[in-house]
Amino acid sequence: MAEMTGKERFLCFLGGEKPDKVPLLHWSVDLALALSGVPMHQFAFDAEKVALGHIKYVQKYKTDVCVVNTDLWWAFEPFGVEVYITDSLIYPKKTVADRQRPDPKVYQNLEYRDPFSGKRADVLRRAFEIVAEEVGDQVAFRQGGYGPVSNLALVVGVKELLRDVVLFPEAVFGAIERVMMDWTVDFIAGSLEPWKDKLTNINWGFASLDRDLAPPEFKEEIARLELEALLRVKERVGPNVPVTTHFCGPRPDLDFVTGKFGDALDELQFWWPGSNYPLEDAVAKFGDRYAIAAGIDHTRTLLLGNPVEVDAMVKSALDIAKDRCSFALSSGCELGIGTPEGNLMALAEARDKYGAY
Amino acid sequence: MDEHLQAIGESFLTFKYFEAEAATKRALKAGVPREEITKTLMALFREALERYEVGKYSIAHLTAAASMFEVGFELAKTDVPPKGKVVIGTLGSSHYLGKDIIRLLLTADGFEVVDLGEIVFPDQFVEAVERDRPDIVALASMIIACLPLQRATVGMLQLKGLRDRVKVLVGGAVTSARWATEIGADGWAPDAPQAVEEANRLLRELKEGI
Repeated sequence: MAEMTGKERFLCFLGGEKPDKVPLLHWSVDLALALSGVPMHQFAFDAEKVALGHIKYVQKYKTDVCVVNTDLWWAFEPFGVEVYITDSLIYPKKTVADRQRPDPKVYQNLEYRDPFSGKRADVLRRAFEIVAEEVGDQVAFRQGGYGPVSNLALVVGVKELLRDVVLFPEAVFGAIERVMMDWTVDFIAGSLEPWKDKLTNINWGFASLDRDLAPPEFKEEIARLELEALLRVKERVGPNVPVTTHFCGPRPDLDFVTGKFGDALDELQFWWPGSNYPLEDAVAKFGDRYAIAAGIDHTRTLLLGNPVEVDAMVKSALDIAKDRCSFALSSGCELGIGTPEGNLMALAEARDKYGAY
Repeated sequence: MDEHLQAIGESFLTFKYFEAEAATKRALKAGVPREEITKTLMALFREALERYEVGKYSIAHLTAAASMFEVGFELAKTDVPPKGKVVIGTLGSSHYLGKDIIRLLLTADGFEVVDLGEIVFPDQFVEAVERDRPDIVALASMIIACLPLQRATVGMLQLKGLRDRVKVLVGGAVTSARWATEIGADGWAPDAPQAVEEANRLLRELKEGI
């Protein structure tokens, strides 16, 4: 088969067709930052450097998909979320309910804010445009966001939301319905606009439906809200744009999510090896309905192992899934700052060695 | 006395934060001994932990229970001087729960705990050792990417000449006894209750000059 571009390869994978080889997917703000040649406090405010770092990333590490970002919080700044920006990191210093006594008024008083009115939003949207223009014909893009429940957690604080959803669920769910639903739809649809005709998929993060995180008594309601938001995004972006996923946690609730979201999803991307959901089980249960992306443990083998172990990890994943479903090699989440370059090169080589169809 | 403690328990187990707080205040006003109230709160929090262990509670429930324990304990704590001081924090990531549970259990066990919070870096631990002069530094790492920060913290304490002043206790989902030995920590605990036992052991060692 003729060599495909990364974009063609990934679209084949999403469509359930056989590409020339298994697509490779991983991403890292930290490593893109390193490739940009500037420190984070410059990177975070310079669209061209953000684009450059991510373009160099896909070219150097031969990934088929590009994920462009600087951090999780830039769109939440209009709510009053503040961040520290150091030479290498961005992390929150203040969320709306940060360390306060539980107070339902935090939720009752929450008001809608334009996700693109913060000072860093223009930087990110311009970076998206540059990346789309520069490599939009070569690679696919994995842009999107989390659902309204997770987004509320990023506004008020994860710990605070988890506490408060148990103490006063009406106030929390009221804020999700009243504010975060529209915000989520506007944010994700707005983040996808700069990709224009290079848009390949909508990516949906399922942080709020990790098996242990959400109170079981609210899972149905959380799923209902997340699905409503996703369907509204699809309506805005285009009903035929495929939906990819991202399950961040160590206990992904794939059964629950697939049961609730059904055909609204096209792909399941989760952490294995590393999470408690075996790839074998996912392939057996969902391989006939969804494309599946997994196989790279970004926390142990890729970070702490050596090229021989990386090679073995890739072979093992491909032995399980390559011929049994539409499969992509994917890290469970973003790669850490110390991930050895030799391991990343070994990853690309192993994909070529074992992943050809 | 029993009716007051029962009121605290009922509010606690139905996650009525403000009612549990009010019930604690009423119990104190009625002259219920502080030790009885803290003992009750401790038992309730342990029950929440057990319910989490068997899958009846989610992380959200446990987070709410921790905050209820904390507000009640703060109201009812005794004036007994702390047995020792611990500086605790989560290195590099925003994982809070394991660290918070250890903080609460240590506090209930009679330690003074300085919580540096989450996304803490080695230099902040070093500053805290200089500033707060703890007996023990407890370093939590919940994801593998943050393990190197434990080693770096031990190294920085050594470099600053502070290592002999404190015992270093490490823990977190991705740590092990072997790892603790490898980085030169004094203790390791696989879970929160054992972290409390280990902190007591390290404190004894410190007092005996070991």
